[in-house]
Order: sequence, then structure tokens, then C-alpha cells
Amino acid sequence: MRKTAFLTLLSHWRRHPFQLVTLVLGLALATALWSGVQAINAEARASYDAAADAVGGSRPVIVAPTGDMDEAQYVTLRRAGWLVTPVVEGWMMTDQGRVRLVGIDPLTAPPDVAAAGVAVDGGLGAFLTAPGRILAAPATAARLSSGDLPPVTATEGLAPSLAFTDIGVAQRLLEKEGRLSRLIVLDTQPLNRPALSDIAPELEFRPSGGQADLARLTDSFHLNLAAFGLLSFAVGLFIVHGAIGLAFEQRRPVFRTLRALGLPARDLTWLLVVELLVLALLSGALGVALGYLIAAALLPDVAATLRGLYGAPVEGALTIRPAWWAAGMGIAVAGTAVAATGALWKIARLPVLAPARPRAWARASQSTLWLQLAAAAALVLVSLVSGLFGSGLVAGFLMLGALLIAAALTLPALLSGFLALAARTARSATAEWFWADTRQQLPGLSLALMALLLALSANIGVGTMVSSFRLTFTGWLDQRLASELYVSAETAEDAAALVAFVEPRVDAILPIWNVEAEIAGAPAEIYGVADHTTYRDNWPLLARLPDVWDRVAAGDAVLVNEQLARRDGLWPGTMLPVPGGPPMEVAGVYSDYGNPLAQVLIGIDALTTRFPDVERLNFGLRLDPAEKDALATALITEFGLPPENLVDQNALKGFSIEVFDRTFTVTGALNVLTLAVAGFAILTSLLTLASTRLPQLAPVWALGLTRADLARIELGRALMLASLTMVAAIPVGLVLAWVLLAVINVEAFGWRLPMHLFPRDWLVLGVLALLAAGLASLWPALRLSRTEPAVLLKVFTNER
Amino acid sequence: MKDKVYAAFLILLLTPATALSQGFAGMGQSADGFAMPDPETRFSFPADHGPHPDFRIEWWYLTANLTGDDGRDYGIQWTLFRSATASGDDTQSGWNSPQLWMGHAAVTTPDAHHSTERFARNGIGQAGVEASPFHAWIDEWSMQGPSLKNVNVTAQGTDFGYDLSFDAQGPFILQGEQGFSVKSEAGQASHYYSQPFYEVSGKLMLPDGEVSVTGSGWLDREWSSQPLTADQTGWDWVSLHFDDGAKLMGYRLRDASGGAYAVGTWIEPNGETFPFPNGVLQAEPLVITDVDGREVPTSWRVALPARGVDVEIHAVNPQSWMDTTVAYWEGPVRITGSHTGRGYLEMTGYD
Amino acid sequence: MLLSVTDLKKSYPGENGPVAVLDGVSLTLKPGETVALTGESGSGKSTLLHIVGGLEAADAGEVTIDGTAIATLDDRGRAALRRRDIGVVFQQFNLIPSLTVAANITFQARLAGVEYGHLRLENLVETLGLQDHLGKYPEQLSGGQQQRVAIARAILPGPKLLLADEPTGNLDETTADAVIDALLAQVRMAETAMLLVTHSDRLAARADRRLHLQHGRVTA
Repeated sequence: MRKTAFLTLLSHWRRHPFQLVTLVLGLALATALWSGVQAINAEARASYDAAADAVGGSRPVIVAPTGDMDEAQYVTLRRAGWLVTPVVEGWMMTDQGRVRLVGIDPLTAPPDVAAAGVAVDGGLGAFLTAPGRILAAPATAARLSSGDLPPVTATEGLAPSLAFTDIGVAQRLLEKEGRLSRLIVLDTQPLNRPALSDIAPELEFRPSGGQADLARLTDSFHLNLAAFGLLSFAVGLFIVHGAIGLAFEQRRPVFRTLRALGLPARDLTWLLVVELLVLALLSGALGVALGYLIAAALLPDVAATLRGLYGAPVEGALTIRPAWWAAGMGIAVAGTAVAATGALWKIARLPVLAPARPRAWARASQSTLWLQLAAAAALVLVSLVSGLFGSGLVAGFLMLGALLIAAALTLPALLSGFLALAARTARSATAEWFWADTRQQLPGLSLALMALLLALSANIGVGTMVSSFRLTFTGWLDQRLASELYVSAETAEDAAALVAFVEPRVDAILPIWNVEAEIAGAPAEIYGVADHTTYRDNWPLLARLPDVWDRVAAGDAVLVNEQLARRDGLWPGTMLPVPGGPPMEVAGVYSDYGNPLAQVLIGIDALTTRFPDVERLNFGLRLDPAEKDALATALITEFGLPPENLVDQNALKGFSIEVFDRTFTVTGALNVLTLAVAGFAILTSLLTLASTRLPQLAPVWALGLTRADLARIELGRALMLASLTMVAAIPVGLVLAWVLLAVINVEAFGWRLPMHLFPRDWLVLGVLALLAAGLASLWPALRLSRTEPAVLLKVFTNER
Repeated sequence: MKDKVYAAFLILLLTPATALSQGFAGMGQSADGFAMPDPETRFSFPADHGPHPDFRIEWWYLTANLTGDDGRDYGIQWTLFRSATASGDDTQSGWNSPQLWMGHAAVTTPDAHHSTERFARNGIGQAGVEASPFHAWIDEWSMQGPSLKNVNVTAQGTDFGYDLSFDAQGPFILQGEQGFSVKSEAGQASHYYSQPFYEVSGKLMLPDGEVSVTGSGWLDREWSSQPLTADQTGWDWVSLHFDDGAKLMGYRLRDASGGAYAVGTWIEPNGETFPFPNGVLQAEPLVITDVDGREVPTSWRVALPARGVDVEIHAVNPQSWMDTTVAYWEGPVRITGSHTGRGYLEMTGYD
Repeated sequence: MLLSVTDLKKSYPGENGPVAVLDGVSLTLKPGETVALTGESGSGKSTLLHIVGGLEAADAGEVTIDGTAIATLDDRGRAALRRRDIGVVFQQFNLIPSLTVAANITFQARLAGVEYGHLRLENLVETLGLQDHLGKYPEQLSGGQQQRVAIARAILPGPKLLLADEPTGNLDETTADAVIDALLAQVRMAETAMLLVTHSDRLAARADRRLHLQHGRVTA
């Protein structure tokens, strides 16, 4: 009996293969977006962990609060009985971007430091003695091809994006001779040792390693992605809900027959559960595979963003992790369960001899609307409270999430109200019927429309954020890149000759000299700035003390960029330890969009005093823009400057914008995918409704409308609802953008941005939404226009 | 993980390029580029108490048989090994120096054996040896005094430590022919001298508390570039303090074919030395002890008929296994038979 | 003649080739005349009704309504014919669920652009006993009430031809009688020709004329 019943149930799919495809595809899409984002996050997190483990894991560290320490302090500690191992770290420039170089001492490194093990296995002598070896994971090794480095050994199992070498080699390559970044405290310590404060009072003991900071720093970024993944999944669930609803609705007669033939409701329910489970697993597997493709396609950009923004060690290669395979399947099954619960509930309580339910969606949905409104109001309250009293990223996202759900819940009531008003303006019978019928269909479509609202709001919000950012960024670039030409010399002698050559031809020569250093425990750039009106007039200061430029020129104050100021609370008036001399006062904060690193500006004299070895090779040239090309030609042909050492202001801006755009590739891609999923949700909802539509349409047809008329009306209805949803999405999207710009961005990237409006983008999005809705409704409409009259007539004569 | 890394470490610590298929701890390596022991060399103290970086390996090897104020027998070991990963000068400073240091320390009680080790890079001051005033150190462990005749010795691990003063009551002893100690028929050799006349006093820090101890100590100094032949698989070495004041150093280098090359030196209480050639010293295992799955002879019959010596030596603690990267058996022994006394036994190549 | 049907043929695809449902049916109907069409289930009476109403196309033969051959009309023309000249009452689901009773009643008239007069509407509603239900939705009405709404809707535009397909098929006898009374009263009052499909002899007996359909042909 059960087997026959099961086969009967399954035969439905053979007769409706498209429905099967819809269900499987919907579930697969939802799972794919979710698990794709999860895969990206898991990969990045695994990389952080590997990086942390790569140099001591969660062991305590000893650091110098001011930055690097003298290596003599390592010996002091060891000879006092502190079992520590030294690490020197820093950024190394290669042809293919920066790589974090980690110098270790394999003799004292803890045995779980993988690189130390590899060093030992692969020839300790070669590792320790000149020219040494560099060990790196294959993907990282591929980026380390350039010139004067020691031989590079690609090694599986090392932390990504890190290059390991002996501490002496690292000191040389990083130009940190005699310096150490930190000391890792080993697990076992001898019987007696003095207190750290007795032997090295200037050093600081930190209970666990510094890599946790990286996780904290990048948390916001991953939360961003996860929120997007969840949104996509939620939108995808609408599809599944629609597809399951359709399949159940259509098989109602079969269910009744099976029940009448003696199959208990329990058994029927269980058979359906088994069927759904099989489908969920199938779709889940497909979805995870799709998710892998999505992740693999997006990860290189994500990795580039993470490396660029946070210096996080992530490579673009994806590894398959069993954990997210399982998680993906789990979420597919859970999603199916959520989407199918309602339908199953009805089946379990299906009376054997109940009449078919020709009446469409209950008119009693009025009370549902009120409930939704009440819930929305409560959520708005939650949003307000977390916005006013919360702080940090989680509060920001709570605010955002509550707001979005509230908006989604409000939508049906809003649309219903609008339709009621519109119905009053109806003059013709057709119009009256159109509004009334649309309103009646609303409950069935509202889930899909909510999905569309979410997708559109997210699009508007994120789009506004990115575009505002971009606009601010380009405006800021114009201020920042004030020099007409940027030149660099190869050697100090070249630089002198270059200065002599351009001196009579330009208004000013502005040195652009910088060093890389650790400020407040993170990599930072220190730039020297000349005392010139170029800076006084153009530099985009967000906060300042009086006489800021005079004080910077005098060498007793610094400027810091916004991200450093926000991260460490370094606002004007606070003191900042700067390597190479006493701490300096922060005199101003400037915006520095798109820069991953903390940046400090000090007077050019202070820079050369504190860092006598700073390379003095780069200059900005101020001159009449009209003479720019002439000077560029002269520099190349007369002076003999290699063309690549000369950068035009415009080229530099172009490059900066390119870097910026790359950062938001992922956001854009997820935006488009989410919108596509929402479109698909509309399609499945319409298909589900289509089967219940006939009793509603047949009388209208019989009374004198053609099928083509009806199809046009159906199409128009979908377009109208999409338009209304789009209109509703604009304010929601703008609020979302504001939260992103004023709350999330500050937490995630460290800068706050002014908001700009881009109505033309809305128009484009609106057209896209109409296109999605139109495409989704076109097929059901076409089908309707070709329905056989006999099918319509059956409504009046037979039991369905 | 740890074992694998350390095992690999052992091999590579002591061998610049190739794997260890020859001899114990890589000592069978060819000595290309390193200085070779020369029978014509005559030591000059205190300079030769310091390191000889032209040679590949070198050690300062201190043992002591001690009696506690609780009446129990104790033994301690303090050793500093120097190893060069590449030949050449020692002029490269800082981390680039090819010289590495390894320290071993142990305390043996009748029922426990505590051991630990340290590693260090040369050239940064973490470990080293200075001849005069004498100072040998690695991390916080040290062996320091106005001269090597009079040193204070400290070391510690996670659960033990010691602080002892060593006071030499007799002269330094040159092993072999004027300190040129031949290790095989093929002529492999090292430079080798000892100080067997230390009177020792001080304290041991043990898990149960401190113990005041006194006793006698023995220092071995040896440096070479290739002290073993390729087929020699390990050695059994003893330093014996007889109660009548005489001392005996003897060792047996085992080869893969089951044979052995055994030599040593008889030392009169006044420091007069009588080295004896291969084949004179008799040594046969009496008791084989299971030490963590290894079969180690922890009691021996030792006979030197020319001196009327026919004794049995028994380990104070048969489980005196040095569970260090370079692992071996090292511990105090009691002597019975024709002579009585105490001494130290070291056995390598049993793991 | 208001309606003339000549040699109408219609077959549906079946398992063993086409099954002839109408096999040469001819009939005529004068204005104000009520003809009952009876016959077994599957005898083709509903199909005949659908073809006459322009809801389905015939395979062969001719249907002329007030001089217009409906075969010459396209989809749009047939729709116009339906809303202007024909009123239909089916066995069930006649009403548009999203509209109120009042809106349902006036729907076809407004669709056809027919001025019906407020008084006429009020009379009709009162006669059919619907005055208390105008603001309700179809699902809130009983089956008999729903059918009376359908009748009001069909009558209001003043069609030339009324087609009723088992209008009481889903109703109990008492209710059915009431509905048929109302229907006949309205038809007579409006001088409308009516084709009434029924399998009930009792109902058929109340028509002016009676035609029996068997195996796709008129037998009496």
C-alpha cells in the first residue's frame, strides 16, 4: 500500500517535470548562495587560524608597546630563564603585491609551528645558513618570484599568505637588523625565573597572541557577507515555499483519493516527508556544488579585499571543507522543513471527503495584516532602541535586520491599503474587478513580494552606500592628489639630479617619502609632509587643532588618518608613540578612504630625523597643468627618466578608482544574485497561484472577456505590484544605506561617509525589477492565454 | 608531531646536508672543510677550555656522583654541545653564525630521572663558552668561575634544578696520547681531556624539595670533526671513581658487525695516567633492562687485569634515559668487586 | 428566429480516436421561448450550450444568433457577443469571488456598457430576495443565494438569449424550485429566449418546449 502510494505521489513529478525543476532549482539556489558565502567565510577564517597557529597560536606573547624590540632583549629573557622564541614580522613588497614575511628561529620555536617542522625536515643547515630559504604555501610561493630573495620552497600545509624564513634572513629582508617583533612564550617554563618587570620592565606580557585582532578586525566584513548570504537564503526559501505549495495544491485530489482508499493521514504525511527529504538532499547537494562554484568565483576578489583592507592572510584558492558540505545539506533540509511545514500541516488534517477548496485565499486575511503590522511596529521599536542605545557592529546589524523585516511585514498592509484606495477610483467593471482581484491575490503573492522588497532594498541600500562612497572617494582623490605629476628616482644621486632638473620648471617640489612601521601594534605607514600650501589648501582634514600645519611643520605634532583615529581613539590632543623618538601629539585627523593601513603624517624634517635611512626618491611636482605634458616629455627625453617612474595625476586617480571598484565586486555580484532569486520567487508564486486562479478567471471570461484580455491583465498586475514594491523599497533602501554609511561602515572600515542620492540608479533598478516581474509573469500569462475553453468550462460543471 | 620534528631535528642539527645513515648522531660524517684532529697538537690552558669553532663538534661534559644529607645516592649531568652546520670561520655574527648549541641537564635519584635540554643559536649571546675567566652558558644554565678548576654550575628544568660548586683537587688529565684519542683502527680521533678530581657540594632542587649534596665530579672535554667511523653504531663509556682515589675512564665503540673498539685510561690518585690500547679492557653486560621498550645493559662486568680490576657496576637507577632530542642512557653507577666506589655510565646507540 | 442551430457537430479526442459528442444537432428558438434540453450524462447537452454561448467552437454546422453566425466571429467578437447578447447561469461557480454581490450583479451589464436603470436593479434584487446580501462576498452566501445572484447578473443587461446549464444541479429540491421559479419569472418578464439544460423531467416540464438529446442527436 505504502509503496504504491509513494509511487503514485512521485508520478506527479514525472507529469510535471518543470515543477520538479523549479523546486530543486529553488532550493539549490538558496543553498548555493548561503553555502557559497559560508565557504568564503570559512576559508578566510581558516586562513586566520592557520596564520595564528603558524606563529605560536594562542600562546602568550611579550611585546614592546612602542613597536619592535631589540633582539638583545630576547637574549636577556632567555638568560634569565624565560623560555621564549623570537618572531620578526613585516610586509615585503613583491611584484605581485605585499606579502607578510615571518622570521622564526626553528631551534626554539614550539614544535607545532609548522614552518619550523618543515625547516627541520627540509634541511636545517640550508634554512639557517646564507642565503637561507623562504617557505610558503604554494599559492603564496607563486607570488614570491621576484629577484633578490632567497630560494623559495613551496610547501603544502603552511598558513596562506605568509612567507616563513629564518629570523636573520627576515631581519635583513625587512631591514630590521637586530630587531624583533615579539617573543612567543613557550608552554613549559623552568622551575625558577624572575618577574618580567625585574628583567625587562619596558616589555609587556600579553596573555594571547596578536592574531585575534585580525579576527576582530575582519569580523565586520564577514558579518556583512553572512548577512548577505542569509538574505539570499531567505529569499530562496520563498521559492521553495512556492514550489512545495504548488506541488501540494496540485496533488490535492491524489491525496484525497489515497486517503479515501484507506491510507491513514499519518502515513500520507510521512510519505510526503520522505519525498521532501529526498528532494532536499538532492537539491542540497546540487546547491552546495553551485555554492562551491560561486565561492570559487568570488573568493579571489574577497581575498584581495581582505588582504588589501586588513592585511589578512588569505589566498584566492578554495579548499573543500566537509564541514560546510554538511552545513549546506543541513540548511537545505532545514529550509525545506520551514517551507513545507504549513503545507504538511494541512495535509495531516485533510478530511477524507472535504469538498475541493475552490475559494481562493481566505478573505479573512485582514486580521493577518493587522498582526503583521503589529509585529512590524514592534520591530521598528527594536530597531530604534538598538540604534539609539546600542553600539558596535552587532547593534548596527540588529538595527538593520529589524528594520528590513519590519519593512517586509508592512508591505502587504501597505499594498492592500493602496489597492483599496485605487479600487474607489475604478470606473469600469474591468477596473473594479482588477483592483478587487489583485487585492484578493495579495496574500498569495505577498511572500514573493516581500522577497522582492528585501532584494530591492538591499540593492538600493548597498548601491547607495557604494555609490556615495565612490563619489566621496573621487572627490577626495581630487583633493589628495593635488600634484600634477609624480616622479620617482632610482638612486639618491638620481634624485638630486632630478630635483635640480625640475627645480626651474615647476612651482614646487613636494617630497613623498615614507617608511613602514608598526603603530599601536598594527602595520602603518609614516609619511613626511612638506610645509606647503598644497597641503594647507587641499588636505581633507576632519578634525584639527589650531595651527595644525605649523605644528606639523615644526615637527612636534602629527596627523593621523581617520581609520587609525577611530580604531584607537586618537583624536586631536591625544599622544601617539611614534618610532624613532618621543611620542607626538595628534594635531589633526584626515580622511583616507580606501587605504587599508593606519597612516601617520609627520613633518618632513621630523621624518628624516627619526628615520635617517628613509628613501628619498619620490616627489610630487606642482606646476601649471598646461605645462604638464611638456615637462613630462622633457623629463623622459631630456633628463632620461624611465617612463614608468613618471605618473600622471589622472593615471594615479584611475588606478585608485580601480582598486576601489575591485573592493566592491563581491557586493555587486551578491546584489545581482539576490535580485535574480527574488525574480524566481515571483515566478514560482505566480505558478502556484495559477492553479487556483481558474475558478476566479472562468466567470470573467464567460461573461465576456477574451483569454488574451485576461493574460494582459495578469501581466499588468505583476508589473503593477512590482512597481509598488519598488516604490516602497526606495525609502527602506535609503534607511538601509544610512545605517550602512553611518554605523556599519565606521565599524567595518573605519570611516564615516556622507550620503548621496542616485535617483537614476533607482530608475535602472526599477526597470530591472519590472523586467524580473514581467519575465516571471510572462510565462503564466502566456499559458493562460492559451488555456483550452474546455478547461475553463470545467470549472462550472465538474468537481475539480 | 613533536617526536617527528625533534627526530628530524636531531639528524639535521648535526649534519649539514645528507641524512644520517652513518654512526651515532651523525658523528660518522666526513669532515670536509673542518679542521682535523692532529696528534702533534699540544693543549694550552686556559685557551683550550674555550671553543674550537674550526671543528665540527665539541662538548663540555660534566657528571657528578653525589650523596645527599638524606643519605641517598644522586647523580647530575650538565652538558653543553657545540655543533657547526657549515664549515668555515666563525666570523659571521648574529643569526648568520653557522654554530648551534645544545644543552643537556639531568638529575638522577634512585627512583627518578629528570632530564631536559636547550637549544640556542650562536652569535647572539644566547649560549657560548669563554675560556678565562671560565664561563659556559646556554639560556640561564651556566658553568662559571675564575677558572675551569673552580666553577659554579647551575641548570634547571620544569621540575628540577641544581646549584653546585666544583672544586678540582688534582690536575687535568690528557686522554689517549697527549690528548689525541684514537676512536678506531682506521684512525678516527678526537682531542680529549678530562678533569676527574672535582670535589662537589651544593644543593639539588627536586619535586619533593631541596637536598644538600656532596660528592665527586668528572669533566670531559672533547672536540673533533669526525670521531667515529661510518659503521660504528654507538658507544658504552664509563668514568669510575674508586674509593682508593684511583680513577678509570674506558669506552667501547661498537660497530655494526658486533665487534668493538675499546680503550681507556688508568688514572692514579696523584694524576699519573696510563692509557691502555684496544683489547685490554674487558666489558660484558650482566643485566639487560627494558627502558621504554629499548633493551639497555644497565649492569656490567668491567675488568682491567693489568691493574687487578675486576668489578661489577650497577646503575643507581636503571631508568636513567635521557629523553632528549639526541637520546641516550646516562646515569650514576655503584661499583662492587675487586674495587669499590662510584662512577658514571653512558651508553649511546640503543634506541 | 432568435437562435438557429443547424447540423452542429463536435467531437472530443478519446482513447480510441475522436468521440462524437454532437452528431448533427439542429434546433431553433423564438424570442421569449423557453426550451428545455434533457438527456443522459454525456449526451452532449452542455457542449451544445457552450457552443451556442460562443464559449466553445463547433467542428461543423452553424449557429446563428439574431442573424449573426457566430462562427464568423473571432475571439474578441465572441466575447462581445457574450457580454452583450447572452446571459449564462452555470451549475456552480458563476460568481467572481473577489467582488461583492452588488458588484457581481452589475458586472456583466457594466462590462457590456448597458444602461440598466437603478429602479430595474432594485426590482430585480428585491424579486430575487437579495436585498440583504448586496455587500457580502459570494463565499458568504448559500448555494441557492449564489444561483440567484447569477440569475440577477444574467438578466440585468437584458440579453436576447439566456443559457442555463443545470442551474439547480447542486441544490436541494426546495431551493431548486425557488431558483427555477425566479428564473422563469425573470425570463418571461424580460421576454428573453432561454435554453435550459437539465436532466430533471420535473424542471423540463415547466419549459415551453422540450428537446431530448441522445448520442449527440435530438430524438424528440
